[in-house]
Amino acid sequence: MDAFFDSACSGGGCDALGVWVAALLTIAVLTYLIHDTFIFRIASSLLVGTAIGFVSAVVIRNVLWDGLIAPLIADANSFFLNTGLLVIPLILGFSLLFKLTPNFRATTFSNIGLAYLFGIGAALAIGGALSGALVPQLLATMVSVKPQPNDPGWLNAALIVVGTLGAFLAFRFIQPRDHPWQRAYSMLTAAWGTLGRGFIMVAFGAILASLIAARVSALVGQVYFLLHDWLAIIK
Amino acid sequence: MIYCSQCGTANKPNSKFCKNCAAPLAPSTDVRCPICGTMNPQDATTCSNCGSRLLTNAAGSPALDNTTPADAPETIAPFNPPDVAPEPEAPPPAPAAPTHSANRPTFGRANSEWLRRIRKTPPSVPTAETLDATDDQPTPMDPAQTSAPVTAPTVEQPAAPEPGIAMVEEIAPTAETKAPTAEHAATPAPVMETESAASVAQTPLASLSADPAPTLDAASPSDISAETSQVVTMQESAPAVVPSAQSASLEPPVQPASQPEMKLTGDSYDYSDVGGHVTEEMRATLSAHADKIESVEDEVALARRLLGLDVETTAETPVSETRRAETISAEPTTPSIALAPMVQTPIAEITAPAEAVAQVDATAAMPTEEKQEKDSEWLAALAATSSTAVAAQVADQAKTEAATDEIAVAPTAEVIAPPVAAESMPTTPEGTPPTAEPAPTAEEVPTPPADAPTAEAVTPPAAAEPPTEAVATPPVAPVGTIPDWVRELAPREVASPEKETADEVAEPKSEGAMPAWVQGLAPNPEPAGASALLERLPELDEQEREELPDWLREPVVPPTEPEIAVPSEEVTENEEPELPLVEPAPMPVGTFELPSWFTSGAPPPSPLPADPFETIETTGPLAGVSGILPLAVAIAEPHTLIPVTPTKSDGGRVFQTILAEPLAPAAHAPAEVTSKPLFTRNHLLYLLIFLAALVPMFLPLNQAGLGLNTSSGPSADFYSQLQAVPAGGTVLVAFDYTPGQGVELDPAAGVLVNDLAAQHVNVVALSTNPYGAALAQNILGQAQAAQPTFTFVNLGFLYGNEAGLKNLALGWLPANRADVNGMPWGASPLAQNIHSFDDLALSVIIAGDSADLRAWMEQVQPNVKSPIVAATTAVLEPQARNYVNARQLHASLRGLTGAAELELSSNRTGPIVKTVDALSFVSLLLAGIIVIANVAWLVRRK
Repeated sequence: MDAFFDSACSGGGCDALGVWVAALLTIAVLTYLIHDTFIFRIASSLLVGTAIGFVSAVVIRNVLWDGLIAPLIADANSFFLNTGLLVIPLILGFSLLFKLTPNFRATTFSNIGLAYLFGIGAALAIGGALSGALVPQLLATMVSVKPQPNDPGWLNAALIVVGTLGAFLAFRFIQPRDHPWQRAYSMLTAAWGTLGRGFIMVAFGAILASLIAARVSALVGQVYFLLHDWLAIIK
Repeated sequence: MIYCSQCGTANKPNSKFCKNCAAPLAPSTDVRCPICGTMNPQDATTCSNCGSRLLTNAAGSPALDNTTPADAPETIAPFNPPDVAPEPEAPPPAPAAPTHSANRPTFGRANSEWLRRIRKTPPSVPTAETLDATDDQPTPMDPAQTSAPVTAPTVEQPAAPEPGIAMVEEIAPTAETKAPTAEHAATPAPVMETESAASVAQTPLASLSADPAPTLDAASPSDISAETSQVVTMQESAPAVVPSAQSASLEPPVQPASQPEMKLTGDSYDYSDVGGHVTEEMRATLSAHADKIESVEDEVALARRLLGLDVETTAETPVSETRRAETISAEPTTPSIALAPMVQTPIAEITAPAEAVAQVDATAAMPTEEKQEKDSEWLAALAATSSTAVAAQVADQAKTEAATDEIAVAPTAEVIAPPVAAESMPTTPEGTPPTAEPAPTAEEVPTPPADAPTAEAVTPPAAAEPPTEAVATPPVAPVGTIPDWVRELAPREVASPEKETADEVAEPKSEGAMPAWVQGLAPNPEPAGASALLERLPELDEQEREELPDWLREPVVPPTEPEIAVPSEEVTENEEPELPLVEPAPMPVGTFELPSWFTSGAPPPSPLPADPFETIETTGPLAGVSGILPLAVAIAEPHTLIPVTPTKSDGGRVFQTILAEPLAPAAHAPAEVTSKPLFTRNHLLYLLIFLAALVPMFLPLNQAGLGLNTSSGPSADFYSQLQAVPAGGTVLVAFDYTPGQGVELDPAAGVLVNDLAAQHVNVVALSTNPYGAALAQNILGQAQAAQPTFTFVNLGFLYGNEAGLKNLALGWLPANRADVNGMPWGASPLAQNIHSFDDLALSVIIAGDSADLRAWMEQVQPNVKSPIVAATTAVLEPQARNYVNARQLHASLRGLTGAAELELSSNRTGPIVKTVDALSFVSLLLAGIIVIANVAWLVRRK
């Protein structure tokens, strides 16, 4: 919150006001540890409202005005020769507003803008996924597990292979047959699957620990803010 | 299409009148499908279009009557006397007694067959004074009745299984004489029905008597007595038309031949085409008159007279008039030869026991309760006439018997001459009963209405009986005003010593006035044909008007004078001259009694269920016609919905019951009496975590080495990438995190910006989220405050998400791209060296969200060659490690810990290390809590 105040105004009273407001809202949020109080709801509502208002202001200022209206106005003298293409996003963006009307034809017209958005988004997502996620990630998993004398990386690769296959076998639900080799196969896959389930648990634990660490970091950071910026108790 | 017989104009199938000449059109013989309306041939049983079963004659009313317009001409079928005369004791099973199920009657047709027969076909002799209705009068006194072949069915008429008639028989089981009389008297009853031509043809005389069957049949048994009284009353009041029966046999009427082709007498002609059965006697008679035949018309007339088809009254009229003043003794002998067949009439039928006669007469003597309506008077008169005719016939037979036996009796006794028992009176071929019992006295026959006006003897029975209205004779018009043949039909004025008595019972008659009974025979004064159409024009509906020619569509002023009735027969081959309209005269009050249901117009009470199809049209051109639209009636008939049975609606009923039940009061959960404690274990845990985060802040310990590795690891790699940036180089720093993530990422951002600033590296800051620009501005400002030579450009929010990043990676920034301060990118000193993404020395992505990091890796990294490093939150660190392992990222920095390591790497001790100490304490605390909780759980489990 103090960052917003810093962006709005900096120096002097604005900094102190921003610290105070941020400190009070932090305390108001921390009151939730005791109970779901009215102060907490005010703080949460204020946070949401401020965030939306800030986003709206930024979008209007940076997108509509700087990116669309200002160029059109500036180019009006030249009859939009340089910014004629901006009419297309203007129309498409304006068509989205017709979603607010119950008229069927109007909503149909607004679907054009949505279709453009979804079409462009889908195309970019698919292309980016192929080129930025799928292929590089597949190539990253194709590592050699051959032990190297001075590089223990093969162990990491071996763990990746064992852990990945174990994770797959952890979801194998097949009734074992009576043949010995089948029973042996079942025992092997069951053991590997159990190991893979351990990998999955470790991964879930790591994710949960990261979440806790992120939230604890926020807590610690706010405590430090209270003690350092607001109360100035610590240096 | 129906083509007009006069002008040949094609008219619509349902047209009643020609649209050109307004002539009545013959009905279409096609049968309209009741479902789809398609016209089908008359012989078709199913519709050619929809396959529906067609309503044919067998199914309902005759098609002719259903389709014939009211004014349409009808072809009169000749009488065909039955070949075999059934025995009186074993009458046939009522062939002429139509029932509702067998032959649907049609009602109310003013031009019904039987009425038409009565109205039309007057002898050619009558002058203009002759009433139209009297032309039909020969029917009841048709010579066929007196001829042998015809009298037989006359005798069998009582056997018709009609309730009314049967009731009469019950009343007078042996009074065979009364039975046929009563049946004839009931003849006018079927005024409301229409007989079919077929039935008429099959039953020569019985058809007339069978016509009333529907009416009588429809009568309830309770009304039988009333009907009987009516019948007898009509007998009593009926004028004596008997002379016509006898005189017709004596003097055949001169009737023009109705058959187009006739054969001369000398041929072997069997006269079948004229509709009669010729006996040898008739042939002999015909041969005897052969010398008098001068033309085919004469021959035909003679044949018809012999066959009983025509009635000749002209020649008989003076005789009849003369006979009024004569006694009966001189009369009967003459016709005995010519009317040989009549002699064959079973005398037993006309001789009824006196008891029966008395019983019938007693019934007839019932006083009339109310007057009849005028519209039914002429029908009643007609009934009376018919009954009287039959009565006269019977009386003639009796007279014939008396004359044959040469029994000299007084006129009164002769009139009252009782019939002899049937068993005791064998019939002889000569027609003369061997003997007759002495005539009963007048007291034994209190009311001989059938006898009174009959047989020219006409001894008024009133002499032996107090005068009643029932025996009142209708007034007779003067001789000069009434045709002779009509006069024959009229009740005879008693020219006997008992005339005074007859005058007492007779109602006063007015000079020049037409007798009521004659008026009753008059046709409906309502004009028919084109004249009727003209008068009905205002009443026609729009559809009917469209069928009319234009000149008829104009408003027509009703004629001031009633137009002479033009019967529909004018278009038939037996076209007759128009007859003067006779003003209906009031009928003698009380002369006969009609049942109340008849006068009230209500349907006759019948024990039988009313036929739903017997609906009489009351309006429109079909007024008075029934059975025209049976299917429409069936469809329009209200149908009773099947009530929902309880079993079927159980589910719904239960549901309705549940819904109808009042809602039960909401069960209030008991308030928790136990107050929630203010300090719980969770609060203890919160306190421990808070203390763990707070206490390290105050500890003098500088535990920079608590789990931090600055020599190797991801943070060291990250730091190496920063150190690899040459001085004066430009580094792109993307602040893609929110203020909520700033607590974890702001330290890392601050450390790296400060390091870059210390290295005199220029920074171009941007963000793909709206919050990043403000966060970047704060951090860059702090760095610039620390390093005044630090150069940076905050381009602010880069909109377009993936598209914006793609565009940035491929085309970099436009020169007019304004920074957060509104300065264009081209005006920045950094823009001189940076023209594309590859001109950047390093790209640092500070990402707090997975989507932001993925967007950079997917849209920018594949398209650029400059190294990219990422500083992420602790949560995103595994994902960033994957990109690092895939060589997509050159290094990654893990949240607050990485910031602390980076801070340590830069040899600066800042607040980040303190926070990491606090984080370490909290992490240890949480780990201890997890271990303790699991141990406690294991201990408790054991």
